Amino acid sequence: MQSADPSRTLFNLENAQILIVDGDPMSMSIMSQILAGFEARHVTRCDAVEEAELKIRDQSFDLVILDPGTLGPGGYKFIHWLRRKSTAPNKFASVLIATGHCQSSRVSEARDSGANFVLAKPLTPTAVFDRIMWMARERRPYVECKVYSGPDRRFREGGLPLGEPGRREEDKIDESLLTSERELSQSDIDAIMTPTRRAQ
Amino acid sequence: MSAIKYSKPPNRLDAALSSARPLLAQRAIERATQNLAHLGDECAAYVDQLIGSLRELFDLYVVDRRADALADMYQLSLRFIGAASLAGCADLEVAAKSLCDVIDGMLERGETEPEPIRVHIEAMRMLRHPAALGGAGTELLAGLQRVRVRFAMSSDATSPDAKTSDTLVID
Repeated sequence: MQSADPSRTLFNLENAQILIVDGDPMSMSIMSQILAGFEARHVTRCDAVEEAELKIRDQSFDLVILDPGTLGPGGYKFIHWLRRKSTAPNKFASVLIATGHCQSSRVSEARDSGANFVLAKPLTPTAVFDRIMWMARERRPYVECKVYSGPDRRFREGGLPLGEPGRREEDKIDESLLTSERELSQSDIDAIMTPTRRAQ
Repeated sequence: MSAIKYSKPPNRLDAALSSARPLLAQRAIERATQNLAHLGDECAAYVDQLIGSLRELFDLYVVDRRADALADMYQLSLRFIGAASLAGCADLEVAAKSLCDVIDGMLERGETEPEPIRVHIEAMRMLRHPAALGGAGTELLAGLQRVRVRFAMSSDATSPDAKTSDTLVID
């Protein structure tokens, strides 16, 4: 998906219901300030997943932004819970993971949890804008199967839902990214979150 | 083969954006950037506080080398990322990411060697004031990178020749 041109795109979050879940107060402030610049007015902040679960049961959100790294082991489980146990419309809310440390084990965990995108920190307003636009524009179907609930990880003619054996040789993501021990760049993360066919 | 259910729920984020007053994204990004600039001093104080907490935790860790203290230091290291660059010390942020990698690798392999953590913390303390370092910041980061390669990625990082002292010495 191509990035939106900020000089030609209209962008205003004043009507969006947003939930930020982040265990780091400064990280929460940074994201809040970015969203304030984007005119967001309905922002709910939670510093723990238990509190976030209560909010999810209580009100509807269009966008959930969280940093699982600051939330202990419950961070990714929260997304899993949101996708599997909560009800519509929150179950289908756009979920953006913003994380400071992008090692492959965590990115694959994020992908498997059902998040829409992973954004590497440090955050910049342009990067956050870009990701929000991606999520607003995306038309991926929502997939529910035994081992995965969330947006279809196949972009155009890409891979298969998690746990489903591909019938075609080319139905695979780049496994080298999942086993890599180097720190992943944003483009690496995108490749994992948005698997596409590879030339054989 | 397990059953797969596909659905096409409405994109509520798109609907929220579409129903809002028209505002050029470029203007929104400028405003967000201005907002972040106002956080600089707060971030600087936060980074100082984090360095203090990290050093305290490390002092405790050296004594008992508990895995949960290691995990706590990982959590603290994560918090630098974002705050440090807004505080004007982007290199410190690079060092913090490196420390995350090192601790993550150590946790994964069950290692307890404190030296790679010590050199990172000391480097981060110096990188907090980049102007005072002059060009030495780049050398510091290069040294940390060598430590990172050994302790975050090498499975034989605990071997006797994998000590950090021959890689980077910080007094």
